Amino acid sequence: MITSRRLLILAALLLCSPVLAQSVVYVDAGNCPGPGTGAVGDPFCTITDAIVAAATGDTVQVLPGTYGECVDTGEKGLAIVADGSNPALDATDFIIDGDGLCTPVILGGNSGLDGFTVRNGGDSGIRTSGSVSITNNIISGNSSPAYGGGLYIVANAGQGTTGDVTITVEDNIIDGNSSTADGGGAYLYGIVAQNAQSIINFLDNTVTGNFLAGEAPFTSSQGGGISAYTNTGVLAYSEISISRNVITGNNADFGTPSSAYGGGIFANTFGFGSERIAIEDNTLSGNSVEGFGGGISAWAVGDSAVNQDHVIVVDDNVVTDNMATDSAGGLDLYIEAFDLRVLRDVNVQLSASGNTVQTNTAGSSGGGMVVSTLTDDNDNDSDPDTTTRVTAVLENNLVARNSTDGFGGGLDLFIVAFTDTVGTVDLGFNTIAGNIAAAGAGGVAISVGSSDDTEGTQTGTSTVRIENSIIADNVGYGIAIFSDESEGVLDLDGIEYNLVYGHSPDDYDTTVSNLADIANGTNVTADPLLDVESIPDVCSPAIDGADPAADYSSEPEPNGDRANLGHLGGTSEATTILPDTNGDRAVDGLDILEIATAFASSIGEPRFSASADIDLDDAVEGPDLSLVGARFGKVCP
Amino acid sequence: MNSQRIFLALLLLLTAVSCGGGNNNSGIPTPTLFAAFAPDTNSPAGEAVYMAAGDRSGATFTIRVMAANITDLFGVGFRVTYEPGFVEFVDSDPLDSVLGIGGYQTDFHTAEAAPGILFVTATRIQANPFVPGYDFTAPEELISLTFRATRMTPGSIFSFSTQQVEICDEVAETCAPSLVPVWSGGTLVVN
Repeated sequence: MITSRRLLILAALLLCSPVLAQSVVYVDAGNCPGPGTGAVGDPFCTITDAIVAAATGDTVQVLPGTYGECVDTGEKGLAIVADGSNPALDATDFIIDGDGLCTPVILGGNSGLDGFTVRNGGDSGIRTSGSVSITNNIISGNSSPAYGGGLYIVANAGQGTTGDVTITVEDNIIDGNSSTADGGGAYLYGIVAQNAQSIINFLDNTVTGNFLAGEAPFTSSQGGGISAYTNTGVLAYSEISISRNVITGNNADFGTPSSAYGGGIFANTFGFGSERIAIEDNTLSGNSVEGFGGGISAWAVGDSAVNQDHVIVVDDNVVTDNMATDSAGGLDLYIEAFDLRVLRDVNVQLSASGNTVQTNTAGSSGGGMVVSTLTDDNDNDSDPDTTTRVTAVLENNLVARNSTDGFGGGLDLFIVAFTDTVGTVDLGFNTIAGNIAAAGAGGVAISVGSSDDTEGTQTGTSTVRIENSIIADNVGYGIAIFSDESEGVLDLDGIEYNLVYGHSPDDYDTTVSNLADIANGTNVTADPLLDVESIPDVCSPAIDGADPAADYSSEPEPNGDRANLGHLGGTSEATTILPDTNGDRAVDGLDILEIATAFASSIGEPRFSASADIDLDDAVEGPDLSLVGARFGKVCP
Repeated sequence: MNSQRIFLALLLLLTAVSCGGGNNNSGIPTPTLFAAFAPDTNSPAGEAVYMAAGDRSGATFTIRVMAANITDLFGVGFRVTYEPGFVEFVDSDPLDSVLGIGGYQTDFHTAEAAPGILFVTATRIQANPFVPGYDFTAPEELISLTFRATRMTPGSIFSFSTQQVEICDEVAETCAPSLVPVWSGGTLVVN
């Protein structure tokens, strides 16, 4: 029973210690030297004082000013927010300055930072553990003697008392940071133990002008802008989404040739559980690397000592004007697998679709893109059930106007398949146009790394499929094999339904031109009539040129019930067919008249005209007339 | 600048203004063009689609595409060819088209497929119940086309090509491009 005397004491405590009853603790550098109480009328002088006074779940609300301190939430779980009462202020008015020594902000689990400039950190700008949220900040001019100049994000799920972890990094500007190990701008590490999971969402950030200058004791530099790793235990799951970011002008270097990867982004899966890294809808421009992958270097790696599921998806990115001194000016895509077993539940996937890869440069090969596979299988038993197989899938990509001083102006495909393995690169519906190579193929260069394993007994199989693509106007061969290996090792019987045109010295090198697929007539040599954006004209032979078995259902009407070739083939952005009712290759008054006289009729009625039914919906109606009207005056040669 | 130079500048300015329109960007005055279109046939005797002179103003002139002596006219599709070095297409006007009589749905299209080739359509649109064609003997306008002359010429030919007339018979409720009328163009003079 609470006596009146005890109530009196409790009331006095509340009056004397307002923090204990607050969910918001206030900080104002203008109230220094303070110390203040944290109340709205008497704020603390420093953020650190507020954190000490706050309880788990509290909000630390910071007023404008420069806070020269090293903030650490510990395990409290606090929201540290810039005061938003004055809409004229932004993150530049709320500064946490590390003075070049410490980490300006360390966030423990369930903490957040919103609306600050974090600068001059000497040991990264922000470091985290557990589930955190980092939003609307400017993270600028920080450095790290190791990983993550601006951000050092480690999920650490399933470790100790930590369960699942979700990290959100959204709407930040991360610029001008540097490190001597991976992640000049941001280091994202989804490490997960036991059966826990970690999710890292890196969304809508601007990552620009960060620099990774690697040095010993580290052995390479990975990710001038962002490095992302997943590393899981057997039953764990880790996912990193890097989406809708603008990533420009970042650089990765190690001081020695060929030791740096990913000027803009580096991503790698290498654990034992289920892992997924998705790099989607980003804009990467002007990034550079003293090595491989000017824009992105992504490695899907698996080793089936245990069941595992490793997936890297690189979709719908715009990758332009990036540079690699070695290979892969735009995208460096690598898939590696050892000892995969069908009887084990193993899945290692690497796919890239819908990317625009343009005007990138590389020194040695792959001005636009390099796709590499490496497979090995140590049992050497030639048993199909234990054959290690991986496939890198590239679909609907535009690879245009890239260049290299070596071979593979657009794409360089490099496949290494050791004994009892199959490595496959599957290209479908890509446009590879206007790329330049100093040697070999200007369009697609194919190389096989090795045919014999260390025991020298058997060979693996390297398979390349190129289908439904436009390969045009590249300087160099359209498709060439840059390898000494025989076709028995390199299986190329999957080059079908492509439009290959306008190359010098020829569309195919001698080896490719002798393939059965080239002779069988499904590949076409004709001008694809691409516009400046590499989109085929309505008169292009690429329209309705795809394998008849290919899915055309997503193409807008009229699609001719057959998919187009090239990067828009089979998609909702595909060029529609010429709405020409009388087959004279001109959309004119005669076509209009045919529709006009059959208008408002359906199949089976006397007035119905099948050729006037442009959209093939068994009726001649307004949409048919509109389709002809939209192309009226168009004449195809 | 002394008074003599000011006077000279004013004189040049007055000279330019007095020359009127037609100045090009170089500042050198060019003469104003006057265009006149003369049709090949003014009063066709039988089934015909032909060009007639419409309004004109300086370099701009209108060609009225006319038809006469046709039963069940539903629509026409044709191309007009002209010399792009002397003339450019401006726009079209269907407001006075005979095809609109009766309030039926119509469709008019014009587009320059290439320099000197204008694609034109003027037609009714079928519907349920059946839309008939139009019967007439006296000349009626189908569509008017406005052009602008760009250079002087003593005679530049306008003609029809790839033409078709669609007939829709309300009795049989059928439509067919069965009619082959006389098509006649004209000549443009620009001075």
